[in-house]
Amino acid sequence: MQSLQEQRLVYEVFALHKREAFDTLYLRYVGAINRFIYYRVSNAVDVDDLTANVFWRVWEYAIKNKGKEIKNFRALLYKITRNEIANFYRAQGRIPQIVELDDPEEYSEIADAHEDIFKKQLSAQDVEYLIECVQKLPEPYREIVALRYFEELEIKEIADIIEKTLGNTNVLIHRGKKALRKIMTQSNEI
Amino acid sequence: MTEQELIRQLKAAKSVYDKKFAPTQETVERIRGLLMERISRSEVAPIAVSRTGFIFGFLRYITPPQFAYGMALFVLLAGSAVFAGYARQARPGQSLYGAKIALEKTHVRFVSNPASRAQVQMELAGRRLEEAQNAVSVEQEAKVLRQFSRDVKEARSTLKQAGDPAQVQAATRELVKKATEYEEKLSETKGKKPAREVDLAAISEAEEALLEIKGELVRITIPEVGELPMKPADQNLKTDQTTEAEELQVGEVSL
Repeated sequence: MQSLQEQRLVYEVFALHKREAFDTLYLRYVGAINRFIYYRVSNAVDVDDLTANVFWRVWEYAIKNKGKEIKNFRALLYKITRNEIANFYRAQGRIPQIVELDDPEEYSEIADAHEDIFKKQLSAQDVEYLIECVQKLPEPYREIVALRYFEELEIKEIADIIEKTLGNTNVLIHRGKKALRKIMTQSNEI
Repeated sequence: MTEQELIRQLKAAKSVYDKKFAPTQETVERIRGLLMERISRSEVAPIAVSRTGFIFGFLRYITPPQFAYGMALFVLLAGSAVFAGYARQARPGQSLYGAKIALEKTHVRFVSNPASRAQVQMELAGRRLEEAQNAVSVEQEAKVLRQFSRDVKEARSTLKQAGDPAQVQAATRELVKKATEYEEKLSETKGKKPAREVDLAAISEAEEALLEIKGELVRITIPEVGELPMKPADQNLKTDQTTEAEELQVGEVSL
């Protein structure tokens, strides 16, 4: 559900083509979009180009669809991002690379400093290991698990983004978790 | 590991994910610069609107179409109700008086039963009579009285369309009462004002209409109606009533 302030910004962009409003939306979402692209594309230069492309596509979409009602701007952004990533891989003629983890110690402080007691119980290695396992998931599950648990999107938003029904999305999330558990168990056994 | 534990761990890993893949401020600014430059080159001019235009446009933008249609319908109905309320207060000569008459006629059309419709028409004729009593000019009074005469005649002809004897009896009783009541009011109207301030022709026309309807009704009505107060001129009509009422009871009389 979009806040009234966000609806206003979206209205200003889509109906009035206000650059200031677009800039505000950019600043609000650039972190999340850049992070999501980086998670799926390893090269930092490619990530920045893709991020710029995503926002440019949003602007173009706003110009072409003047006054179009956007029910969920965040879902639209992720949808465009997903398409951009797919186009990027298609142009390169290759499959997504898995990002290698660097310096696991760097993140231990974050995990320890978190308020949640359960999170405190998790060691930095556990967290790193988990993210590593998520990155090993087959592509559809990897994306969907990231959208649900790292980007914290609603299931309905994810359904909009991947253009599936709520039921199918739930099934995909469930299968993603199942596959993740399997990967973690196999890794532990090795 | 249970599913719940896995979900908790995934949620806990979010902060690490955020930190690991987050762009630097420099990156954010660089992309922003690239983007804004590209947008500037596209030469798309922002659309200027007034503050009111912005508010209405925004409300329309965020409002689902179904809600907007519902609101429009509500405003229309509320507006109509207010309009009808004002029109109902209108007096002869005022701009909304025509609307008042139209609304009343619409009301009459919605009454499907002829017996009930005749009663409504007679009721509305009563309103014309009241308006005539309060009219500010002789012309208006004459006009309203002529309308009164027409309404009374219409009530009479409507009643003729009714088929159910029980309903006819009830409606006739009511109409005769009303006609008698209106006769008295009409006499009051005539008596209150000096002759030069009254359109005698219109009053005579109204009196005739009342006499006609009473005559018509008395001919077909039930015995007790004959006991209603009547003017001497109507007495000859009363003699017919007994036989007609009897015929009505055995179902031999139709309108």
